[in-house]
Amino acid sequence: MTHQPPSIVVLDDDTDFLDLNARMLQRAGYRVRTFSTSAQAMSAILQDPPDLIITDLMMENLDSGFTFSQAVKDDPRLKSVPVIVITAMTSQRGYDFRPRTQDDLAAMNAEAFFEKPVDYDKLIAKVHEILNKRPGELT
Amino acid sequence: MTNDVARILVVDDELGMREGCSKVLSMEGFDVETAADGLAGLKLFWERGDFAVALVDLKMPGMGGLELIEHLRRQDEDVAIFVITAYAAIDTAVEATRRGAYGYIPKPFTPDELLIPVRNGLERRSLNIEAKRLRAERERRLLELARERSKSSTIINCMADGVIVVNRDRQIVLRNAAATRILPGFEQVPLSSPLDRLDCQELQALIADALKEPAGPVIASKELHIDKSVYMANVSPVLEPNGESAGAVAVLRDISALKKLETAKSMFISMVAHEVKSPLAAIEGQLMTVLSGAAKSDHDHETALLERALLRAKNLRSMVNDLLNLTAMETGNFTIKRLPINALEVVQAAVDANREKAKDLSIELKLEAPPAPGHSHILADRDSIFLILMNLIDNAIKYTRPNGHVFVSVCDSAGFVKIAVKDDGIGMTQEQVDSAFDEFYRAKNEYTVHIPGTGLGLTLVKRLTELHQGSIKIQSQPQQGSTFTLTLPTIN
Ligand SMILES: Nc1ncnc2c1ncn2[C@@H]1O[C@H](COP(=O)(O)OP(=O)(O)OP(=O)(O)O)[C@@H](O)[C@H]1O
Ligand SMILES: [Mg+2]
Repeated sequence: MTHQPPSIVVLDDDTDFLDLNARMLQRAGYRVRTFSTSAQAMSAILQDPPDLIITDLMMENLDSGFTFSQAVKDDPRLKSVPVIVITAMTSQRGYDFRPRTQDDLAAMNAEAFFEKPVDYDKLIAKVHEILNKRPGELT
Repeated sequence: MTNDVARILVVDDELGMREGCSKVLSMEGFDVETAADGLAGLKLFWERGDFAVALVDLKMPGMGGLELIEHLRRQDEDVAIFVITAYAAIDTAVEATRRGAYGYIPKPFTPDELLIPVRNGLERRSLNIEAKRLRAERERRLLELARERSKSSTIINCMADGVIVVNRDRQIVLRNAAATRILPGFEQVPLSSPLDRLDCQELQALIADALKEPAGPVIASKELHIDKSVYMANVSPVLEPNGESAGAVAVLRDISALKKLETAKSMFISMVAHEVKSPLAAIEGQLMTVLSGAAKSDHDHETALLERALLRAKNLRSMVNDLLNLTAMETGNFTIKRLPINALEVVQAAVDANREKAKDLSIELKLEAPPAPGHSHILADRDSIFLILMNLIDNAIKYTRPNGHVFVSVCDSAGFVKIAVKDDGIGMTQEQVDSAFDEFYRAKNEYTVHIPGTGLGLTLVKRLTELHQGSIKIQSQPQQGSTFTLTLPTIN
């Protein structure tokens, strides 16, 4: 069995974040594919499901990040793929949608939630933790 | 009036009678005038007018007493008229009273027999006058009141705000047309119905509170949602002069338009916050990465990160600029200097300013000038028109793939100059066209994500165009290209 590093799909409509995230994850030893629209990302991950998805919340329209992670959860081929949500916008019209509990996270089908700008030490640590927790995956 | 000396007219054809009466009455302090026949009496009465008493002989040559009485009564409804007669026939006396005499004095008479009826007559007359004055006064007041009432009820009815008055027995005693319109089914509720017939629980509660004792002059305000509108309800107690509650008055004002503005404003602010936060987060992330040394091994990457950070900062600054301009326009603080300028010259300048950029991106940028130049004079602010064209040409270049074409053309047509910026770039769907002028709107697709922008350019273009009484139209097909046509009125 060849040891292949885990694969991560990063989705963000801000190309700078896409670039930063990709480089930091690659430096940490992961295989990274980047997409800037949810349509592109969806067709790519259906072809070749990754081990982890990292998505921005605000894309084409305000809730498309939520819609995307919901679509991942609803697809039988993808529902076991963990999702990390990253966003710059944490409230809308006075409603703060930062998850506070495990239930909040589950509701947005997220394993973890990060605010932009991302502290990469914490992000990488979280990615390690999530990927190592998964049974059958490599160490 | 009673203090004045009462004037008395004596009309009799017998000289002895006239002198006798005169003497008796003058001695009592009355001012007496006499006449020898009806006509002379009437003339005196006409000329002097202010007689309080008239003593009229019935049998006179010429105009008789009865006829004179009738004339006098018609002249003055208050004068106390007495008939003097030697032949006190009951029927003539009745006839005289019918025509307006107070009574009759039979001849011959003693001084007292004359003075007593005269004094009684005077008293009766002044009582009559006073009663009449009071009656007139009361009528005037009633009329005024009625006029006042109908005036205030007309005013209340014409008010745009709904008004409802409830008495302390919780009965609806007044409501205006607006209130009937605002509250569902209120038309069917007759006046004096109990408060709970009001089809709005919250308003009922507010009014009930205002009716509670001890009432104070407090006004309770609350926003109410009725049907699809929002109302500000102000309810205040109505107090008697002694401080007891007389009822309550509720005023409903439609604040839907204000509410909508408020929502639009807060949405705009949260949109701005997001648009500012995203690039700032990106810059922060890029600088953090450089500082952490994570990119140290790769010098090119480090430089690229810093360059990107700089670009985002610049972009952010230009966005703030656009925002300030937009706000200035909204508050009317954006002044444009409208002078006669040559549209063609401005277009030429804007095209020239974009040549470098077009060349770098391998896009052909061409200006198609009209065959007879020099006619496209417009009354406009040059800086504004330049800004509009810069935005349109910048977009055309930005949203066109390498080796594409951008054509700018100017043409005159009956009082208008049309400036078209045409590209064969990525184009837009109808949906994207519809939103293109909205604040912060940017079409999102594989091509546009790599292109920096704030989505304020076209918003600014639209506002500036409107300030110049011009119009801007978009024709576009995805993957085919777009044409932006700016139409501005020419001078005369
Ligand atoms: N010539 C064009 N071809 C295709 N799409 C266009 C064109 N011009 C504008 N658009 C679309 O309309 C959107 C709004 O344009 P606008 O100029 O307001 O913003 P922007 O170019 O994104 O940012 P900036 O504020 O920096 O100009 C663009 O993001 C783009 O999607
Ligand atoms: Mg633009």
